Amino acid sequence: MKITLMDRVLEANEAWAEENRIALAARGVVMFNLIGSPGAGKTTLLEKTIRLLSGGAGVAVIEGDVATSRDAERIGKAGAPVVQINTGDGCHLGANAVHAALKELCAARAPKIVFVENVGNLICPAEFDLGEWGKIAVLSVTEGDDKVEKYPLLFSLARALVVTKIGLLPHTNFRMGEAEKEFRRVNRDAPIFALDSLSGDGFGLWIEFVRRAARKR
Amino acid sequence: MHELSIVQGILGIIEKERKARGFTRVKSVEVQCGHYSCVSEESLAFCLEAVATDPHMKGAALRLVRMPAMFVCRGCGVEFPGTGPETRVCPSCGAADPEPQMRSELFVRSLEVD
Repeated sequence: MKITLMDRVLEANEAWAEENRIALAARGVVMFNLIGSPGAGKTTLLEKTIRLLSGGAGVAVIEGDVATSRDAERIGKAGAPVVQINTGDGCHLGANAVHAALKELCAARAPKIVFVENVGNLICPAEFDLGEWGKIAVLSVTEGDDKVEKYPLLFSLARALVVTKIGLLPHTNFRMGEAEKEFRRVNRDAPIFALDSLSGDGFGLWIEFVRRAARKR
Repeated sequence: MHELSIVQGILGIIEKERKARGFTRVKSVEVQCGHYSCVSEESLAFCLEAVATDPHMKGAALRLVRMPAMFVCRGCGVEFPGTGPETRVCPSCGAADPEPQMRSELFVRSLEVD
């Protein structure tokens, strides 16, 4: 006997994501989901961003890693409350784990901005909605300018693209124009921020983007 | 290994149907995914076999149906299927650079059961 269904496979995750979305909207919190390769500079971007957002006031972070709490320790030093989620053998954060972390963060403080640093990976995290306001694709110039069309799902869903480590541009063959052209083929509207987290170059527009998203909530 | 999360979702759907309909054996599962979904039939089937140890799942086959990539013309708004990111021209008005519609949705399309 054949049973025709058309049931959503990731329905459980989507239900948790929807709960997160409702809880965040009720509290007026904006949540960003940072997705990029291991070593793309997500944690360093966050450290600098926390310091520039009034020393981290109103900012909280959820750290997703396979193992260790190294990133959480760095974020704590930068001045933001942080919850570390270790996914074990998991390659992405699920909306249920983020739900528990949000509960913990919101009970202790009342953040207005939450950054989720997803597990370093361009593939799996793109498939799992966390209930965020927007996915932020993080791409470093050392990874090459051909990555956008190789991993189109993430870049097409992104609400912004952050190109990191631009201080290294003279030492790579990364062509900003080429990356931008590829990005525009899959994503027409999302802004692109090119910056360097060590020198602080290019952070003005990115910080303004984060603040504007937070104000709209 | 996000195949594990996906297989757990598939097994949840099968369990819900089994409780409602009372079948005793699943012969095959048909899963549908978007063109850009990051899943492969081989790894899903492998993972299903490893995780689904209940007797009613013994020997169950998995088939993955990948839907074509869809594009929307930025000029005339018509939606059309393409072959992938290399699709660059609208078949209706000829405008270049159509917008890919990224669909990653995963569905259990059907079950073959006894």
